[in-house]
Amino acid sequence: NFYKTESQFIQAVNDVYRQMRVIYNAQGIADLFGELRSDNTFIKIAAGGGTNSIDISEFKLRTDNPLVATAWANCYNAIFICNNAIEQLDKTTVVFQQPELKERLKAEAIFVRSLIYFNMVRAWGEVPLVLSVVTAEQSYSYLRESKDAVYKQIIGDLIYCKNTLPEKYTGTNIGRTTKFGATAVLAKIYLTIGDKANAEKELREIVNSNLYSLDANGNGTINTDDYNFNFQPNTKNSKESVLEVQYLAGVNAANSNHQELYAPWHFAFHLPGSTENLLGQGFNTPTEDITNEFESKDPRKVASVNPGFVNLTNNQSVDYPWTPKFFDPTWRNPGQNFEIIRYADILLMLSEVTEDPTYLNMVRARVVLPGFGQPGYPAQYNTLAKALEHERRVELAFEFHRFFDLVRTGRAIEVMKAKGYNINQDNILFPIPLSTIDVNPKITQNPGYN
Amino acid sequence: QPFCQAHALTWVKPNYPGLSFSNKGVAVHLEPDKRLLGEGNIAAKPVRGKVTSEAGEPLIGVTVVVKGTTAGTSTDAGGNYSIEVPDNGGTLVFSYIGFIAKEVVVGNATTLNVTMAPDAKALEEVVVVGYGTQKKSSVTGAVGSVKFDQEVSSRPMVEFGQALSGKVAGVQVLSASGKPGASSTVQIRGIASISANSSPLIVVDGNPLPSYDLNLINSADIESIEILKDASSAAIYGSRGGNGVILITTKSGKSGKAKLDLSYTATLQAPIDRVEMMNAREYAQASIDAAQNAWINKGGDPNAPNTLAARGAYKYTWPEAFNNPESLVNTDFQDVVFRLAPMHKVDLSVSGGNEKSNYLISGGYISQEGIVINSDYNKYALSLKASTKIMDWVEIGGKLSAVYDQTNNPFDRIVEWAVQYPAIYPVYGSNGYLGDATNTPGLGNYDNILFRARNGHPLYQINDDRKTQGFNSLGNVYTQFDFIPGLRFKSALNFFFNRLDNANYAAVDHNMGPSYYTEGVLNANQERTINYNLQNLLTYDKAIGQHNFSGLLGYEYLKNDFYNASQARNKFDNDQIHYLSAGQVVAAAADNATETVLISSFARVSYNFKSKYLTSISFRRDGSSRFGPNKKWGYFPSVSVGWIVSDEPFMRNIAKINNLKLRASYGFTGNDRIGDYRWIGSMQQGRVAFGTTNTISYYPSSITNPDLGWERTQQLNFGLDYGMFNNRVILEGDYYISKSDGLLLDVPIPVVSGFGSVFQNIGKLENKGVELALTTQNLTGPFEWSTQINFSRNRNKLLALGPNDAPMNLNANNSLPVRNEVGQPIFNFYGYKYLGVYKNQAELDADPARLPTFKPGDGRYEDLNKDGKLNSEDRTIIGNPAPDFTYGITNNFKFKNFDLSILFQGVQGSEVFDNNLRRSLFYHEGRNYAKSVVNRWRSEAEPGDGYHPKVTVDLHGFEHIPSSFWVVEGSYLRLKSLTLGYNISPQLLSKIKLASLRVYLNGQNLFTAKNANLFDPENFSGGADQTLQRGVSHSPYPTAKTYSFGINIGL
Repeated sequence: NFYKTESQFIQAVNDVYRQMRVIYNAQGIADLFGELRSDNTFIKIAAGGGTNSIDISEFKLRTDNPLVATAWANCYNAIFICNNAIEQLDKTTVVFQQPELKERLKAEAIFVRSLIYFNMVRAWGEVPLVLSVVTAEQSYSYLRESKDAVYKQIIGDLIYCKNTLPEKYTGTNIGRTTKFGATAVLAKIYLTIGDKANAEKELREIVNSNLYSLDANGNGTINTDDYNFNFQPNTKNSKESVLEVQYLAGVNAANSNHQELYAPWHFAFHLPGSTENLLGQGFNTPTEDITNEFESKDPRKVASVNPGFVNLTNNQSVDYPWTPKFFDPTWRNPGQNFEIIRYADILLMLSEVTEDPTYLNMVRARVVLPGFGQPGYPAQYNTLAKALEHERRVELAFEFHRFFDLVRTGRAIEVMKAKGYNINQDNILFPIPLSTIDVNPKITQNPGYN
Repeated sequence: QPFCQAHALTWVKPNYPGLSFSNKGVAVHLEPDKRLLGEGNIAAKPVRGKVTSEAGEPLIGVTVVVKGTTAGTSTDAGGNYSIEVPDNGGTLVFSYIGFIAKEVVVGNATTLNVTMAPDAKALEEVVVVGYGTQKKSSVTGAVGSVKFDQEVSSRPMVEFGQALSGKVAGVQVLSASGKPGASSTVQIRGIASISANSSPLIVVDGNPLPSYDLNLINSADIESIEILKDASSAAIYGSRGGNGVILITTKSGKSGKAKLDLSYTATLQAPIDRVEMMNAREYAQASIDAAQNAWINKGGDPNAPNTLAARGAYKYTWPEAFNNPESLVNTDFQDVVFRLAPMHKVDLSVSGGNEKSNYLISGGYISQEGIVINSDYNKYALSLKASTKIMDWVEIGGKLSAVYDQTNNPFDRIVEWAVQYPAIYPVYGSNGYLGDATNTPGLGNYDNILFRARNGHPLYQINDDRKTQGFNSLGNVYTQFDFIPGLRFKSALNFFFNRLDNANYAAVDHNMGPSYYTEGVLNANQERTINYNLQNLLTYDKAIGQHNFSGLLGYEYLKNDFYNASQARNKFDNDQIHYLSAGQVVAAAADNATETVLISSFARVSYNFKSKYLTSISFRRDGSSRFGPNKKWGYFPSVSVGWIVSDEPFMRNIAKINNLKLRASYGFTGNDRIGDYRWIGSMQQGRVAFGTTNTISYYPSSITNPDLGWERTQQLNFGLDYGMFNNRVILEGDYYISKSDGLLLDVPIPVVSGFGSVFQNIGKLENKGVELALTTQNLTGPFEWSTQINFSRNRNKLLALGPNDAPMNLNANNSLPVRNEVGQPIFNFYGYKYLGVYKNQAELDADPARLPTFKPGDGRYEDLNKDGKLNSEDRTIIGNPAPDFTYGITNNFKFKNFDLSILFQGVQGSEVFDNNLRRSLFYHEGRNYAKSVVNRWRSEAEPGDGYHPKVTVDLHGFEHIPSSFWVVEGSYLRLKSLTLGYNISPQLLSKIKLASLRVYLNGQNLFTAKNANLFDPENFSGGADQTLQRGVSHSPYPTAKTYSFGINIGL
């Protein structure tokens, strides 16, 4: 008996934002594929032995990995929520006071669905493409669709979203997906499938909107403070934010789980400024490799990697790196937002498609580092491609970009192998969860997992 | 005048102190005690003779007593006896089960041959059936019966499930956990459901209870328990009868002088067993091996120094103290959490009445400490029962019982942690805090290796306060009209009220110092159930010539109202004041209400001709609010027939067979044990944020299914009752086959639908079984010996599952999948078949299915389909928690005033998932290893027992994949109960003015033969009614072994 009033439709569509959280939570699909697999993080020791995450991290993944299975199921549950909202909007006879609200709501749901498919197609390759609410019986006939079909669908959908969603919101709607949020995802898709021309077009549209800036805190100057501002517990939808997952601190609110999951699994761990021992879960521990990737003068190193903490029992420091990027003094009900696409990412992508280091250097200039081609720039990154690879890694560290980037640029095997990872072409993709094939044997498995 | 046996024991004796009695099985004979009347005799002369049946067969074991004395004997194999009688002859009393007692005046005779006539009434034991009673001889279904006789009552019972253990064929009783206040699991004829609850319906004096909880009534108030096993007897309970029905009849007052019964039991409880874990020395060596194996596997130099610098990660190192294991402490943490625990039980009842009225008032008290520290249980019970005839044809009565109980629970993983915390730590370390690596000399850097070094200590949560208080009350009022002989109308209003208060406080202080304070969390929960039930019953019994009719017509309305509120607060300043108000942060405040209505009408007609040809037909119609609009109403018919073959003339000549009855029944029952509102697709509320605005969302959380209905079980039962040698040998056998269809099933569906499963009526399940119960009177006479043996075997098979019969894998037990597959029993454990270890490189090389990562010392798994690849195709069934068969053997001995009962009980062919074994190997985590891992593979030269793989801190191979390595044998044979009792003789009693006095010793679970390294293979890590958790053991609170002393006094 729901879906009878305008506000009920708003509440139904609100839920797609809850689903966006599910996808970008710690151990959501974006994390498992984008970060845990990368050379940025490893499992030192984690809750429950961490075996399941170690298997992902070290490319020893088996088809029954429960983390992958949960991520897969969460994606399709989220897609169902989106499809349901879209269908209810399509078939309702409720007259909306402002017809454009109805269109906007629909576009919001379609956007989240497209974002989920974009993550899925990168993590699993071919996936079943479900675009409507399906019954249990019908669901058996949904088999894996080609990557092209998935990309074609989500490009079309995102163009619709981009043309429907507003450029910005006011009041309590701030935080909903905007036109440029959709545009940014579209640009990334084009980049991923190698369509640089379209990518550039979309990226320029964002830049030319003049709505975004590296001046995250909006104080008129662009400096390291702006970089750090992005990772403050109370920063919400700043000038740099193009697409952002909304969390809120406090009991009974949309809490985030990144901090707790990524904090050290150690009984003596405590947050800076706190004397209470707080047991983290030990996932996504920064590797020595990423710590060394930061240039010595790079202020982003301190903002990204904390080398350890002090055991207050014996006042000895414990060598157990963790990232303070998700720091929130509210340990139990934290609410720091998570940025899916920051303006820095837009600029780095623009540099990539235009092969013009100007935009890259804007990002470097913010943290007072010499630009590519300028004196003092590290010699080893002697091509723009290498420079971008380095810059994306340090600028966007632990923000679920690294492994997606390596796969997109075709560098995953080379880079990871050089660092001792036992990786081959087959295990770049995740396996289809065994339980899915157990229920419907017509679903095929990815190569290398049989 | 014949008296029912039980009545004779409890009523006659105290009321007629001048009577002595002999109690031989079913027949009871009462005669005045001449000695008390002053007619004793002294001189003696011998008399001999032969006792035969009417057919001339010698009767063996007939009791022959000189009337008015204790002098007696019994007949031998030829039916002959010999006895000394008083000089003046006196009178001999001949008594024998199933025969009318005979008194013969001796006079001058020296030889007395006696013929005895069978007593038809001896078989007329009455059993309780659904909405009525029936003579045992005319029962055509399969009904198991447990009388609360001396043997059963001597068990130190806290809940009545313990009375059923080992007593009834087809009924398996499991103690899910030994936690004080926990109910046993009672399973009747196998599991008939996958997703719905498989617990039987419990009916107390006609009042059906809404939930499965065996603590709801005081076991001392119970007179008998009847278990309706087959569909024809349970079909009268319709949609709730599918898992069988337990009918409880409570004691009532009897007409006669008021009597008072007092009983007291003192019990000492001890843990039934220990789980064998490594000692400190063995653990140290295993830890070195685990670090070293992983290090070498990683390519490290085996001789690299044992330092962080040399090995790169703490996990590849070990504390120096391990090199000198003799220096380590060796703590047995099971000693730390277990204790010898006392229990006291007192029951008092006063009862009495006259021809028109009767009453009974009883009170009971149990005070039980648990065998695990921080656990105890107190129970207070009060009951009133009365009835009166206000006119010859109108009876009014009712009962009211109230039970209040309090449970203190330990932290629920305390036993698991006691088993797994390594012996290398002291209970308390050098700084007085709980022993761990930081305060145990020589273990300094182990702190960095083991992440469970702290909260794995079994006392870590010892300051918690977790308690439950329950108050429940049940009762009824009824009026009964006997309009004309045989026609009775009864109207009863039953009620059940339950209030439950849970408060679980997780403490701030962990005895590890201020830096390990946690914030303190209190979860409080209050539950209220009000259940009422109106029954109108019209019965009519009529005999026309040899035709006997009995009819029942009934209507029942039931409503259940449930309300629950829960609150949680965090952040407590200290552990002293931990009420809700003291918590600074409100973490949760929620409530939940449900209503259930069941409307039913039912009828039953029983008919017999000459009490020889028996038949019964019943029918019930149920309407339940739990089910979808299309399936609200269901119909449950049944039919049964019986034939007492031994009453036919052609059987009369076969004197050895005195009873042969054939029974057959067929009927339908249902199972409605699912949550309320399951058919409605529900909308749930979520929380979302936009910027700093907190707002809500709504989302569909399940799929609507208007076709959701009950599971239907049809069962066919064939039974045989056979009595030989004047019922000295009684065999009852049943064979049944039941098919459940429309199984309520959470059917896994492709997750692309958005859901992992949908709740549907789909699937078919079959249970087939044999039940045998053999009762023999091996010796009668002064030394009595009788034996009861029961045996049951149930086979369970899935006939159909969801769409395409696709197998279902369920992961409810949190690591080992449980699989349902057509053609197989339900709830099979599923995984790879473990074949032991690769002892050396040669063995490894010879196996084409090895994975490239495998090394010598790793486990080997069967390539089931022989395709040379070890992959998911090779998974198979690796066990099932349901037993192949169960059995119980009771031997009762009686000599003079002593009695001895010994009950052995066992289970064969069940499997248990030993999560402790898995955990100890799978996650190193600093958990102790099972003792058997001492025999692990260590090198090609030291391959161990060829079964236990090498230990390692990097376990990413197959060792953490579900396999038969984790599955252990659950079979056991147990000395379940042993009772030695002594009844003070009537002569002595009369001097001390008591009607009866009995003292006894009882032991429970005294001895268990088993193979598994588990406390008790019966225990499982789940609630009593969680079918899916059966056979899943993660060191739950174990069963106790008990030693009791008891005394029963009658006034």
